[in-house]
Amino acid sequence: MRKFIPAFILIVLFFASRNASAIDQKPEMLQQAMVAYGEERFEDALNLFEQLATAYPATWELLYNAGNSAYRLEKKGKAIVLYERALQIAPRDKDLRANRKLLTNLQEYKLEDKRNWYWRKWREVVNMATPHEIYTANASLYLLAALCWTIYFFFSKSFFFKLGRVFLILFILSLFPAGTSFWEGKYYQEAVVVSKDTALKYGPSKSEKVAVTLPEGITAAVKEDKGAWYQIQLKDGTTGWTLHKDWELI
Amino acid sequence: MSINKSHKHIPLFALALILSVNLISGVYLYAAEAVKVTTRFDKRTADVSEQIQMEIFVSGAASNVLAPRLPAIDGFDMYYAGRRNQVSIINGIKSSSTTFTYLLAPTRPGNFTLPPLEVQVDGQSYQTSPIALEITGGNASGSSAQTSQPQAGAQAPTNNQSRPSPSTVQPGDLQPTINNSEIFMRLVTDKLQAYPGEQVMLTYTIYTRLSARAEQFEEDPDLSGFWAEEIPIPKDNKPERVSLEGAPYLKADIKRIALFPTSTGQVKIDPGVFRVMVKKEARPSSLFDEFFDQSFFGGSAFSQRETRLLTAEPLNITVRPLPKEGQPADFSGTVGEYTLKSSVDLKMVKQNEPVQLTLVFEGLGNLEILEKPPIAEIEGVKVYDTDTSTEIKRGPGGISGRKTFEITFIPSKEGTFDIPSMVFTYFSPRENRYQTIKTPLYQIKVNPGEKEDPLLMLGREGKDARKTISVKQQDVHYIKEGFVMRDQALVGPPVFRGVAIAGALFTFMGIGCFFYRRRQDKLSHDVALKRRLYATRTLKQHLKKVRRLASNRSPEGVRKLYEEVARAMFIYFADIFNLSNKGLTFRMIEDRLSELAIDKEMRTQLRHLFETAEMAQFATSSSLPDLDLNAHLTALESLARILEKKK
Repeated sequence: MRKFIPAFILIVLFFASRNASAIDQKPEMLQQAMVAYGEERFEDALNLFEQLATAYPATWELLYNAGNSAYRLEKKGKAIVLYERALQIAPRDKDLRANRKLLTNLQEYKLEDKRNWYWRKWREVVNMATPHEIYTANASLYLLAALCWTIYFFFSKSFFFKLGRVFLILFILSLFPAGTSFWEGKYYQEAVVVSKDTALKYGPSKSEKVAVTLPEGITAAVKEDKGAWYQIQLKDGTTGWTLHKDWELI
Repeated sequence: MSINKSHKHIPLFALALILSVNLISGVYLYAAEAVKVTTRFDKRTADVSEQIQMEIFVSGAASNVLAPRLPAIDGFDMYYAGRRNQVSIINGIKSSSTTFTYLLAPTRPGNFTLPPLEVQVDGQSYQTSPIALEITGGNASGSSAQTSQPQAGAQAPTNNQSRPSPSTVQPGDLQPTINNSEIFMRLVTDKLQAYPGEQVMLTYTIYTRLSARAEQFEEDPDLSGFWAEEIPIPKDNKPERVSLEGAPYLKADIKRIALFPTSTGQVKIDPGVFRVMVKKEARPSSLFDEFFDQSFFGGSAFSQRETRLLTAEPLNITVRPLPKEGQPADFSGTVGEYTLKSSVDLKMVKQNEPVQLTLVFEGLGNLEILEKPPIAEIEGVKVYDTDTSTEIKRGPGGISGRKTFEITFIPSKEGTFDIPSMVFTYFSPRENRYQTIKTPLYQIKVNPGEKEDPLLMLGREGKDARKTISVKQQDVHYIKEGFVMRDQALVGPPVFRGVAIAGALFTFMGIGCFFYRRRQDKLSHDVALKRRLYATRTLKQHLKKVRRLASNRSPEGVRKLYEEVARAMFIYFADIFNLSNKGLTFRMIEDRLSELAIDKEMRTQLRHLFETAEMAQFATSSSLPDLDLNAHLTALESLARILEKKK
């Protein structure tokens, strides 16, 4: 047992040093961003927070602060993109959800959501956790089932068999959110209008007629990417083609 | 000593706190939006048969907005269609809006410019921008089909100004006629007795035997003592053919007004003077020719015509006081026919979250003056009036519509609270008695919630703030500070991989344990198999011991060695053949070996080992056998391997 202690200490030190380096690497830049926000230099704050968010992709607070900066600059579309990205990392944060909801409420142009209500509700539930949280929970349930049954086979205690069966059922059920999350990550892409008035055209050409003009902040699903054009589908089912430059992927 | 000192400062701190709160709330209240008056239209281009909805939108922190007085607008008849008030105090910032809705009915096609409209807000005058409207379709001759005149004394926001007449003949000193047998005007009301606030429909009708065209009021009717709302005459209203005292006439309604008496007693309606144009030519040979030659409303603008002024006998309406008998103490003063519907948006909320009660009054009567029933105070609950809106419909039956009140309740304590039943009493002229309608009692459950945002509450305490309130979030939450920078999520791919690998390991372990358990179960049911399976292993353990004992060449050691050899052999063969140790002889073993076709040489070698081992146990030290033990033991092992294969 004693021979494992140095190895354990080494592992702890390794991870501690990783965290320490992460914390200490760019404190000045973070300080500058905070000061810029406090002094209402929101453009500077937005740039700094975005740079930091690129360096620390798991620090959703940076995206949140960048979103606040974008909101102050009245870049509502950009703010929505940043909040959505932060929500992918911290989907249950109250402030984040409140700010995202605020931006939805502030939108004058409301689209009727014609998607199936049960699909919407299901996505809301699934989006309460990150994909890796769902996958980890899924794997943990499997692990527990396997552990219970290993104990059962070894010690022949029926309690562990029953417990393992419960975990197995939970594991099978958890495959549904995991599958949804996987599908969304792999095949579903959303984008947000970041320009003031964005034309949604009948075809991927400038000569095509404009079907709808969309205001900033509208969210839509990207169905196809063709050259400089996205084919997008709005929540009300309307589809059309629009230029990349007017949209930002979440 | 220090305690006393600190006590001395308490009033000072309290004073400072109160002053700060007042100052902050004052700042927030006065950080209100500037007043803006704008107009909105549902369309800027319309057909002459369509109506345009115009909204005059007054935004800002205004609390006293008077209904705009609109000038007569060339090319349009204008009808008031309701108002809507909205006031909100959010994060201490007050904003309000009032919307007046009008319907513009074009009277002819053309391009028109709506003049700036004036609105009085808090005693100050504000103007809208001029707006161009295009009216298409119909006859562009500019002839006026019929007129509509606003009423004196009415709050209905249209104004009484004469408009240019397309006629070429001016009225001059013409005297209005009352009883001309060729053309005359009559005033009709649906009732001659009414209660204050009861709707009385007044209709102006012209009867004619001439080819005539209706123009407009030369002298406005005097409707003092009434609140008046004009009812539009449908554009497709056709004159009727009627017979009066045996003579045929064309009859057409030219104006309808809903009157609401404002005082009791005899109230006189002076009909005013109405101008019509009649054709100068000789009368057609028959009345029917006339009907088809010129319609009352469609006369040609180019015909030679002369002006006639029409009036009628004044009408007297008796306005009776409302009966004292049966008048409830909480009578609202409203007269008409109403229904009341109510609803709450939530029956379970968290602390400091709003519940909205909606009251919808619908019916016939003057909805503009209908007031919301009073609300009893509720302990621990703040009550705010939010939106009020009126939708007025003008139909042949008079003024009807809907008035909606929205009231917000914000509970500060958890538990339950009741929104008490609200009672509304009105006088029903149809039933000739007082009617009481009430809302049900709503019980609201309040769950524990977050503490109140102090900023949100500032400004709610002022009198003006009670007007309306919105608790919707209006600003983003504060930025995050003091967080840990991470380049990897806490629950990221490594954690998932670790758990997945552990799961896979336990799967293999589980499978192993499963087979182990199955084997154990099988062995527990088959003792012979178990003995046979473990026989070789037991033999090997014994032979290991034998080899260890072989190093001791003392007589005692040799004896122990052969004892062990004998035990090993007996135990092994008893297990292999599932026999009892007790009473086992080499003969029995040899028979079994013969059955298994073990060759004779091996059996002889085994017999020799048996005999030697048995003899050695009882031999004296001088007669201990001299045996090549290793060779015999190897032979035993070979036999064990053979038997293993034969299993």
